[in-house]
Amino acid sequence: MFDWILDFYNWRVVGQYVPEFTRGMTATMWISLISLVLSLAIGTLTAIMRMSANPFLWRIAAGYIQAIRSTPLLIQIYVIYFSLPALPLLGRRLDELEGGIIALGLNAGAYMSEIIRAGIESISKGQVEGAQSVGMTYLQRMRYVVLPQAFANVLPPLLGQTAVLIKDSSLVSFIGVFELFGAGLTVLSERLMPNEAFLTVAACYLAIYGVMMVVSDYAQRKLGGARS
Amino acid sequence: MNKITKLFGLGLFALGLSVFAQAASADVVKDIIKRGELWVAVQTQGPPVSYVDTNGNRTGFAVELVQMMADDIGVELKLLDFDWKGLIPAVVSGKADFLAADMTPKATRALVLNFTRPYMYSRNVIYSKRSKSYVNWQDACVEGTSIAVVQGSSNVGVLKAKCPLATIKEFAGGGPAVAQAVSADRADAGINDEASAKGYMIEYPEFKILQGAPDRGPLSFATRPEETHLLAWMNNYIMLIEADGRLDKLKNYWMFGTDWKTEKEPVPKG
Repeated sequence: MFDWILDFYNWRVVGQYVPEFTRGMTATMWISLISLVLSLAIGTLTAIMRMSANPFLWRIAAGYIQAIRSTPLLIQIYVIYFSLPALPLLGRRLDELEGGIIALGLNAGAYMSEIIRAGIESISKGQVEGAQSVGMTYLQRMRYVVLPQAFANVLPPLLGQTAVLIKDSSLVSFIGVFELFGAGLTVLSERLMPNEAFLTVAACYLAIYGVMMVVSDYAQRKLGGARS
Repeated sequence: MNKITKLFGLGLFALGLSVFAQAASADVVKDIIKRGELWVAVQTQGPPVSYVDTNGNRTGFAVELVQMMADDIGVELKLLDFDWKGLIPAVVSGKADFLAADMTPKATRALVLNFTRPYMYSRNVIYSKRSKSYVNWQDACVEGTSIAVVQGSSNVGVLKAKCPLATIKEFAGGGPAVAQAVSADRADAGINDEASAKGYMIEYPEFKILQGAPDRGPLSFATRPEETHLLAWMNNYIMLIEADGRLDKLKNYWMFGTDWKTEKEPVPKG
């Protein structure tokens, strides 16, 4: 039995590649985390623009959402990394990591915005009118009344989208960013052992997902009171 | 009685399964003859070894060589296209009889697969844009330069050993992705086997191959460790076509020449 397991998955070999897997996992976690923050900011802003009465604003938001949702993520990564010229504010072109994170953030932002919009629309009009009646400005209403409840209401789909974002982050390896999948490829290339390469990568993704679940449980408890 | 019949049936079924399993793994050469098909795993995107030409046909050095193999023993050729990552699992799991790619039989790799005798030795070269001042490959290996390489390829190890000062940028997506990175000024230079690099010189007229080569290695096909008969047969076949000149003809056209890039027809059959 022990021999059979070792035949199927040789952890002694995997042990030799712990530094690569650790480096890859750390990179994947950082890339995912920064992209997540970026996508939530973009998503919230786009959701508010999409619901605006100003046709200029909602058309821009709708166009962005459609453009992102109708094109593959890999193409978006390639366009941002290979085709974008030097940015005027930065004075240079985006490097691999910046390009990858921005592409992931923009991509997830479009999906997040639709989820957040559903959350905002789930808040009853009475609450907004109530906030208006006590003299709250638009920003105050959003900050204190609408958005906390909206996020609490759509936490489960947001988590689902975050899981997709973490898995999608492996695509940045196409523009030369070393992450978890790259670590698996190193094992595959040097040792030709697909089980040891890909099962380890899968286990690391599972571990990241586990950490995310713990964090989200905490967030849910915190926001639980805000849920409407 | 009913119980005994059921038990007997189950036993027969189990026996049948074990016999089937044995029959499938005893000697794949016998299987090839029996099924009348040679199952070969080739790389999806790897000119000039295996690629789809402008007419939509799969061709290249490895494809033409295994076609010749199949023709010589009178069986049909069934090509299975895989990304580099899929080649090894395809062979290990038995979906393909062997893999026909430009793989270097490194010591750790040969622990897992049975490699044939090399069909050729290939140099790995460094190329850059003509506008760069580099002449020799060492010129691109100084501090501050970046070199693009196919992610997970054996060239990553070559760069780490021979170009430790340069920044290594690993691109998934094969040789074309590396060439694209050099063309888009995302890396100062790229590394690839000489045959592929020569191909890029036509596709990207702004490229040049730097003099010398940081590495030279054997290229082989490979099968499962237990397939000793198939390995002996493949080695024998390579020896035969070496002797009658057909291997050189294929190598000269695909691996050392660039006519395959410009000619749509004909493809030499060896």
